[in-house]
Amino acid sequence: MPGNTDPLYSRAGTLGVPAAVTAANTSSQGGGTIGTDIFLALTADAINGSFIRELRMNPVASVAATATTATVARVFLSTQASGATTSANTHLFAEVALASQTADQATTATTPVIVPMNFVLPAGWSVLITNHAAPAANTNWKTIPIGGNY
Amino acid sequence: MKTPIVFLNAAHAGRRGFMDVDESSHTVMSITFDDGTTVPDNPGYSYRTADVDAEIKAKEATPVLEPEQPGELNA
Repeated sequence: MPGNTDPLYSRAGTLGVPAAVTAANTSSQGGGTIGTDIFLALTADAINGSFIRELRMNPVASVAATATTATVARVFLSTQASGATTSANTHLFAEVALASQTADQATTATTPVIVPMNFVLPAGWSVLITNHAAPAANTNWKTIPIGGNY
Repeated sequence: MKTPIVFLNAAHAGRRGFMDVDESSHTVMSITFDDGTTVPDNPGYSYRTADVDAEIKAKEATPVLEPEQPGELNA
């Protein structure tokens, strides 16, 4: 017998914890300290897990017309939501190139980088983000997860 | 362009250096420790720019005030 024959719908939308990356992490193996060099974007619903449709990464700046540093963003799935992470509990899910963009312009919009997810993140797991290079002064890449909690 | 940085790895915590950014491509070409050792994008290093580090440390040093509870002003 299958465990469930009924479709599942999310109970409430979630945007996780929109995460601004403020540091470089040059490892793709998942090691770091959450909040210092690897950043929490979403923690799955503690009981039923969460569906994640996508991550939207936007370049932002506090000073008009500032160029971001070209880098690679990494998305990790982890059983940790705080403290230190290691390659044993934090696993690379995707890498995307973040080309330099001039953020916060008067008449030209930036372009978000979208990472499709489209899967159910089990309870006890979280989504973490790193950037390979440190952001340029007065800029960073901010990640907003879009999904729903079951 | 050389931008001052602060290393964050436990093994190098607090050590300073700089990242060399190519101004035309906005690409980090290398990172260098305060002793002059250059590590061209080697895996395993984490760091942030010195201005962001100062901003974060200033925030950490600022006491967080608890928000007032509803009705507290009228109590």
